[in-house]
Amino acid sequence: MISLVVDDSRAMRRIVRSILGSAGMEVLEAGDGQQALDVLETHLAGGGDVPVLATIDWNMPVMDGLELVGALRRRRDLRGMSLMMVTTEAEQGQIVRALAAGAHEYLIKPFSADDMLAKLDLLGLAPVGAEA
Amino acid sequence: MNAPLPPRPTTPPISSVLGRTAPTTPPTTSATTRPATSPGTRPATGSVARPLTSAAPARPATAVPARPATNPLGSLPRPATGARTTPVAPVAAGLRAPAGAAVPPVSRPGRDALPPADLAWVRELVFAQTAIVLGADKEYLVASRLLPFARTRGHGDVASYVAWMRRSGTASDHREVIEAMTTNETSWFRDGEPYTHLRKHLVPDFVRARSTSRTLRIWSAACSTGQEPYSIAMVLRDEPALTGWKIDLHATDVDVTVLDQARAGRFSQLEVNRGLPAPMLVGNFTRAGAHWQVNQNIRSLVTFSQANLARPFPPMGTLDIIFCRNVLIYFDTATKRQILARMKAVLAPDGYLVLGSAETTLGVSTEWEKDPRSRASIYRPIPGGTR
Repeated sequence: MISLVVDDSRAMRRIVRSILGSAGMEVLEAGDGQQALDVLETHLAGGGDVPVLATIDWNMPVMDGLELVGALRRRRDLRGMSLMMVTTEAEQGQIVRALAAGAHEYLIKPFSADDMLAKLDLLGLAPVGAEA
Repeated sequence: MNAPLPPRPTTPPISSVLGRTAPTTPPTTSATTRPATSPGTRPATGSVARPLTSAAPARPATAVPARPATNPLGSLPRPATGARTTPVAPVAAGLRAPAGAAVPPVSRPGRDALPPADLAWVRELVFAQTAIVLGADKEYLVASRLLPFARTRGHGDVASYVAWMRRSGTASDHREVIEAMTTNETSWFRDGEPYTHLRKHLVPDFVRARSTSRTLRIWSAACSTGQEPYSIAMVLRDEPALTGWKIDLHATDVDVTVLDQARAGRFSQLEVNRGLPAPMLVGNFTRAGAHWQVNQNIRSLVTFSQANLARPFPPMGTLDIIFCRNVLIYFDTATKRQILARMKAVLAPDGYLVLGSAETTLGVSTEWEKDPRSRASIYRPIPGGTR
């Protein structure tokens, strides 16, 4: 399974990649929303599968996470992709905005590996044989 | 309590627990080109937490701080203070349950259970490997979580177990301690199957069977800080077929401290991060300062009270479903048998008993049969016996 990790912090990308890797996923990375679209384009053009998941930071340069969620949700070819915001934005109104824009899940930083794996569970992306 | 379920408000779709808000088809196959940035084989968790052994754990049990953590014990934005920020669920709740005097020979994880040096060793081990900070006041939690492992390894109490760990434990033995202290057993919907089964099968069963009384009585028997009964309440409230029904949701725990938090329905940011679907969070909670408060329409469905499972149950009428997850493990077989018999006596003949995913009535009682529709540990009473 392929996933896409979008965060302008390299350290955070590495952490998320490690957690998703433990769930058996391969990971594409991007540092902002525009780069995410570019990386995705290249990946798909090369015959890669549609990622099953994108974890998306909110506050990033060039194109922020909310805009990226909107852009991804407008794409018919990416319908199989779960979108999870992973951000320090913790206000209720922000969560509502993200869900309204098309995010499926929302994880607030800081979080533990278990928290993220629990979200994968909710999205039906838990690795086979993983504990419930 | 006893509030008839009001009509559903216009909240975001809550089908997710259990009906997933996620896209329907994760269409990947394994025949993919490995991307250049791929971690290759499973990445080591070293970037997050140093593994104890070269065989890195399958799941990095680690806290991910919002900012780089450079700090020593006590200043991480993690469960530094208060059991509230640690995953307290049936495991811990169960531990509290047998704390009453009536439960020999389970040793009580009391306040004096662990010498300070042993507690410090556990805290340092957990911090070094996961960056999770256990407060110095977490002795009770430590003792609670470790008790089942102490028993499994034949130690009379947790102090003896920790002393042995320090003296002779290998790195993989240590992993057991770390996992015991960091695993979330039942934060919200984490162990989703019982809730899925509730929604898909049990509710429809009772909608038919109780169509006259239109009343559902449920007991969460070791509710800890309230995640289980509130999760149940959210599922039931989201069921169109139960609109207008009377819901009696009883929730008990032996520990009055956790009951206070449960009753208040206030949860930290860390707590709501654990297994609670985002649409349910924004649909059923209101942010209040640094906390999230369960909305009144959900709280009003649940009545909390103190109860020790080893003693007579409080009067709750005839129950339709009992949730008793990850609790029985803390009792000896004779007490378990006795608890199951009394649960059967208060459960309707067509009612259900929901145990923890690794629990079974096998070897304890012959008066229960597993619900064949579920992989989870969901049981029905067999007619006759002690009824």
